[in-house]
Amino acid sequence: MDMRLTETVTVKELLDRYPRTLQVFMDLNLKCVGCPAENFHTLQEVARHYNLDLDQFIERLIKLAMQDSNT
Amino acid sequence: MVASGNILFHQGDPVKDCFVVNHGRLKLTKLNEEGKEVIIRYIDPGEITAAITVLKDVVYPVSAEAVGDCIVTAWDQPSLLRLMGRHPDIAVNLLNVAFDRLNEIQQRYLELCTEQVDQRIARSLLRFMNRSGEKTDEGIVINIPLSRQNIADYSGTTLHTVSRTLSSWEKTGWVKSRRRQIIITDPHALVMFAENGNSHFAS
Repeated sequence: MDMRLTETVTVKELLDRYPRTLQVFMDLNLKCVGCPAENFHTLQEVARHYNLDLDQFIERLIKLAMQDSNT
Repeated sequence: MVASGNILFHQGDPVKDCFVVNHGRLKLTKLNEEGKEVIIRYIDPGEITAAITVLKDVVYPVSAEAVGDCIVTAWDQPSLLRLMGRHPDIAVNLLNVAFDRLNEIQQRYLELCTEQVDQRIARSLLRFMNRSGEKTDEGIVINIPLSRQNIADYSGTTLHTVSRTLSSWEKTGWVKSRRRQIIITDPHALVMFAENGNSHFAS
């Protein structure tokens, strides 16, 4: 992966680079996709707002992001 | 170069050039017959305005005022038409811009007709935030000098309602407001409110 998936990555950066991670947002019913704040909110903030375990959340994203990097 | 506060073109003047903003920001406003002013949109660097000049010999439909010092490039009608003939991509891009703006106006019209006033205020702030926000430790600062009257005009409501709504959101910790500056301190809550119209959904 050419972008390290850390808690400081914004939703927009993530989805622009790894579109497949959209699936995680859909599965968890997170309303971040297309939100006016997607350019500002980091993964850490998403986890806080939706009461998610940050590490588990990032782990799920990395799994799908790897598929994007392999294509 | 257009100095801050100066008018680049007035609503009602015969059209001559269209403009691309290189630096700074333009505020487009429209007046009705009674002199009531409404903000139509802001034009940021890289964006075009008064593109109508390319196709129609009419008058400018809005006025453009420089917010901060601005540098703009002017294109006259014959030059642009010539360029479009030679490079159709330019025409396609312009059409794209026109459709995006039309879409936004249609969306705002729908909101005006169907949503509660405080939802419309939330959406206006989020639009400004999305286009001109800057993340700081305090929250997302909207980098446009915005008075409460500006927000009221943009949201189709009154100064009184905007003041009352902003005060209540300050109490709940969604925004902070200073003179002509708004900071969105809880964008998530504001988005949820704009979408659902019920603060119950906001976290």
